[in-house]
Amino acid sequence: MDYGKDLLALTPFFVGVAAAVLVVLVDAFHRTEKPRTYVAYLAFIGLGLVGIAAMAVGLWLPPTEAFGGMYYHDRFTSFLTVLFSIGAMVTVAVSPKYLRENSAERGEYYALIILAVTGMILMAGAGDLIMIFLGIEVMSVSVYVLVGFFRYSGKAAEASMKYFFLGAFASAVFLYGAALVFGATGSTGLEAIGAAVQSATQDGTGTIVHLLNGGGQELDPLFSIGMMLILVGLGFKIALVPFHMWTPDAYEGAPASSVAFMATAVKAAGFAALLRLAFTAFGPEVARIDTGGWVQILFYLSLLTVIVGNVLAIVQDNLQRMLAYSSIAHAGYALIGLVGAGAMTGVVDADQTMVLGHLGSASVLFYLLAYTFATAGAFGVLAYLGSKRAEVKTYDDLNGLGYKYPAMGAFMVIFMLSSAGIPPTAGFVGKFYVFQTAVTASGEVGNNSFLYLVIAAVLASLAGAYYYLRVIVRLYMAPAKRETPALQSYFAKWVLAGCAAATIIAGVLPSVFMKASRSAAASMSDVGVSYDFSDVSVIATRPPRGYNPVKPDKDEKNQGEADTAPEGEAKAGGE
Amino acid sequence: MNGLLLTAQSSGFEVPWLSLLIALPLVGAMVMALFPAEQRGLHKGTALFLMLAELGLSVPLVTRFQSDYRAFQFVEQHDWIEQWGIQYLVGLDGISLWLVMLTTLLGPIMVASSFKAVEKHHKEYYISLLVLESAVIGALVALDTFLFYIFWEVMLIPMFLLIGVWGGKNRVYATVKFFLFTLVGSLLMLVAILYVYFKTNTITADGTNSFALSALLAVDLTSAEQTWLFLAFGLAFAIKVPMFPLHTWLPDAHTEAPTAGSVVLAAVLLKMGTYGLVRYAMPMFPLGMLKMAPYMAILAVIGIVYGALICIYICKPKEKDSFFRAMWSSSAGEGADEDVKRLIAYSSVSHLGFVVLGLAALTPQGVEGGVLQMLAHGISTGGLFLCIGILYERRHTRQITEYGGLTSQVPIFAFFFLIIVLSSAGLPGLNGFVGEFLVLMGTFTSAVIPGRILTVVAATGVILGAVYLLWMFQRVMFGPLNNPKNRTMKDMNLREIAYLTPVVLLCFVMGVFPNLFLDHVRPSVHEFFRIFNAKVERDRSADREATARELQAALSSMPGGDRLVLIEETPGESLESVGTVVLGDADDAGTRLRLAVDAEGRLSWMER
Repeated sequence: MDYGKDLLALTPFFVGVAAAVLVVLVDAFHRTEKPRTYVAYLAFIGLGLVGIAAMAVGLWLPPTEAFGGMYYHDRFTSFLTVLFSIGAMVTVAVSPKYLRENSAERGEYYALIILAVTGMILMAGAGDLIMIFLGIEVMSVSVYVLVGFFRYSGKAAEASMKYFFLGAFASAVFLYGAALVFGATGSTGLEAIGAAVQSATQDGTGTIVHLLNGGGQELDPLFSIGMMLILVGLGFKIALVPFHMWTPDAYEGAPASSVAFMATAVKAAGFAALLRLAFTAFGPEVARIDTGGWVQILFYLSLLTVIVGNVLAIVQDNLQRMLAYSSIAHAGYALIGLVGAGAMTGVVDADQTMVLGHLGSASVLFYLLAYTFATAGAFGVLAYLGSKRAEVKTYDDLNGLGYKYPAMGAFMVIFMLSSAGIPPTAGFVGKFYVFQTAVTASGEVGNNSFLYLVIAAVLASLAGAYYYLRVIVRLYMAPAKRETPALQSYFAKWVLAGCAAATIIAGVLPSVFMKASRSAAASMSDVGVSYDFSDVSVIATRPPRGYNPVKPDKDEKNQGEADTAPEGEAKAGGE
Repeated sequence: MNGLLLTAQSSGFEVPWLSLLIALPLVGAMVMALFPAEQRGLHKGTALFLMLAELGLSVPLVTRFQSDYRAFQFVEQHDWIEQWGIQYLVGLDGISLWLVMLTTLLGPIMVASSFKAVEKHHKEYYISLLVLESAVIGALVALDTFLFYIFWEVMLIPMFLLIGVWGGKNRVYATVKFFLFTLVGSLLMLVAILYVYFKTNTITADGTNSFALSALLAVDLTSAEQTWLFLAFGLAFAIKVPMFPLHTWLPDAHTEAPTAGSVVLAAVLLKMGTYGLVRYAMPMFPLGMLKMAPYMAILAVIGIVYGALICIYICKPKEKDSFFRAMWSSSAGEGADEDVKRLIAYSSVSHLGFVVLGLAALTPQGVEGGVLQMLAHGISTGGLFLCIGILYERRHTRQITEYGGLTSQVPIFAFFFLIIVLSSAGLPGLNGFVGEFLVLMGTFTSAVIPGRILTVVAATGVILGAVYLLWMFQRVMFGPLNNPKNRTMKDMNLREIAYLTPVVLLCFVMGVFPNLFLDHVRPSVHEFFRIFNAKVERDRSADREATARELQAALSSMPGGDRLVLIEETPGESLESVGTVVLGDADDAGTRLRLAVDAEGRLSWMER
């Protein structure tokens, strides 16, 4: 068998592994006590190459199922790989200075970050439950170490320990769920699971989705429990309420630079696996089931997450804890996009060409992009401002810093406004996008509960505005307290400036980013999806709209196009 | 798009006046950000130059404006986010024209009034003012709801900083309150915009959705939907105005803001609320508006009287420790009940009540008067804040009791202050009178609200307004010069005279020649009513059609109902009553039924 193309599809992964090995090797030959910033540069370049490789294969290599369906190569994988490397690059950029301040500058820090990214690539591209599990483990083991990287700090050790135990537990739960799903469907491949679910519905004799006498559908308990356990396992990784308890402790104790990575890339990886599972394995049949379908489960999880995350963030005094709760809330917002998209799975538009569910999941990708810039940036600023004798831990430590470090202050304002969802930042467009998806779903499915979900989320984001504003208030409206200057680092400064610029650009001119996330989301149906949308008996089409006075006839329009096309050909032929 | 909203289509190249107006302060602010922080003269000079240039740039808007033309003018249209059908669509009509002019006129005045008053972070201060100017103009000329929302929110950020960084003692509380209050409303408005947006694909030619105002206006909505959507929009605007029970952020924000912040807040930002009602909430959801108009009017009148009574309380000489004083001190801080700025803030609540009343009356005079009152209030309240700013710069206190007998000490100031106070009190011949008079006239003849009673009550507000403003003037300016600290007070300098003169001149011009302004406003108000009435007609008939279908279905389910046919139909007068239909067997006269639709859109009928 020819694996050449499959190996080519994995280029970003190999680039990452090579960069990690190189970083460890170079660091091993560095024997003096001099600063080893160049190791960070090397890691930065390596991660940049991972991103570039991902873009290249995403653009030029047609989507394939590599290695017998174990790894899906499509634009979705590429998009997320770029996202992971962005989060990792920001982390790497702020780390050298921060680690040196805390006497923990060691080369393996960067190697671990790159290795975690390779694990994430496997998660995003996984075509098999086993593959997802492998990805989770590769990523998690690296991140456990990153959390406890300040070896002599009690808090870091506690954070690492907590994260490790709960993370291992979550992995076990995931694995158990995978075993049950395997039992119900006879396969661990996402595509095969999807096929099993669908065939069962079509002839009505299946074992996974039972047709009820009343006309409804019901899930097989074995499959249902397995699916829920899988969702719980991933819910831990992306910190959904009520699986969020570890987050504030881990974020508080961990080095700020590690949190920048954890809060962005790790969360994005969890969402990648979730999206892939939701759309490829569980599919529209399980989405549409009213009781116990995955849309319904995630609906309540997102509602809880948005409210609890925002409300608990208000009462925090510690900045890293506040940002931890805020990151929980953000996961909730992204999940709203997924819920909206999920409700529309299988609904195709009037032309039978676009799958609205996949288009809706583009909102999740865009949100993750906006969130990555803002959150990695915010933790980056915290890491930058913290110096050895005066770490920035609580709100009080921020007092008046906006005037002392004008650039950092301005960046922080941009990141906070973006997190609060105030235009003209990427965060606003991201929120708008996920809300839009949910409101569309409400209209398409004819179910007002999605509208109420959006209203609840909107009100919760008001609470969010309060604690983000507090940061700005402290930066600019409180008298300065401390004297200790932070180390200067132009490397970190420029990368953070890039984050801030990206936040504004994606807020003012979101078209390009939206196009990318749309094409990424749409390409999820290029591989590994066994159901086809031409079968109208299975897939609901968009319900007819009511009063429709002006809209011209679609067929007529198409007819016109068809008429003109041959003329053009004839002309070309003539020449 | 059903021709509800006309925009002028031009041929050939046109100078993009509106875009230039939006861009100039913004680009200027970006350039200023690169200036070194220490050179204060440079910052002041640049900011003043930019604001003057902005004013100059806005003059062609008036000279080139075709007042007999009811469509939007100076229209620019570009695709912005194609995926969502969002456009960069801006245009100007008679209503927004004068609000834009007010904004550009106040720009240089705000900068000039800040030269002395601002003591720290000069560069950032002027950058905030410039960004604010840009955002306000953007929000006034935007014709795409998404674009409007962006500018509407961006307005908050510089204002948040202006109050929070350069404000008074209690500034952080005031600014956070201001920000959160405004945000509550705007977020719900965003959901409402989204809701309507998803219905726009039924009216555009290619089935795509659009955020353009014209598309949103053309969407058919049921009466119940319109009520909810109007409430969502109305809440955002009512908070901004602010209307009576939602006004509590305003006194705090005004009291704590620096002078220029108070000026721009009173003169322009509050107008965004009433402007939003005229431009968006009312024409988009006319049935909702009709339903809510009486409540709006009643709240407006309560606001008029309540604001005035509070002002009178602030004017009143008070005993040392009364119950009210203790209450005020605990809620608004020590000395709040003697604060001149707080008084003007409450007078804003009262004066803007007139604007809302005029809009709710839904008569041409009422709406015209409301628009004119917006301008008049912008000029005179802006002027009042400038005057208080001048006093505050000299004495660093805003307590009424600290002043008294200033006339002999500062005669030039007394002259300017008196004219502005009288214009704010609505003296005929000055600007405050025309708007209030038109509003009262429009309210009196209104068919949708209990006009006569409300006119009478609102008119007492005019009298109370004269009482508190003149009382305040008397206590500050007349009487013996008792406080020795006031004996060294200097009169206005040239800079201060220079920036107050245009304000005073405008007070006279608007009062004596109101038609100069009304001529531009009137066609747009007519256009507003044309859209409003056309949409009411259409939405009602759509409602009626739905009712008829429902009735048919209900009849056919009745025993023998299939033999009944509709013989005659009379449309109802009020909104709730759909009308009377006569039903019967084909031969006899049949039964007369009165039909009604309740708030949830359910149909009910009774024999009569």
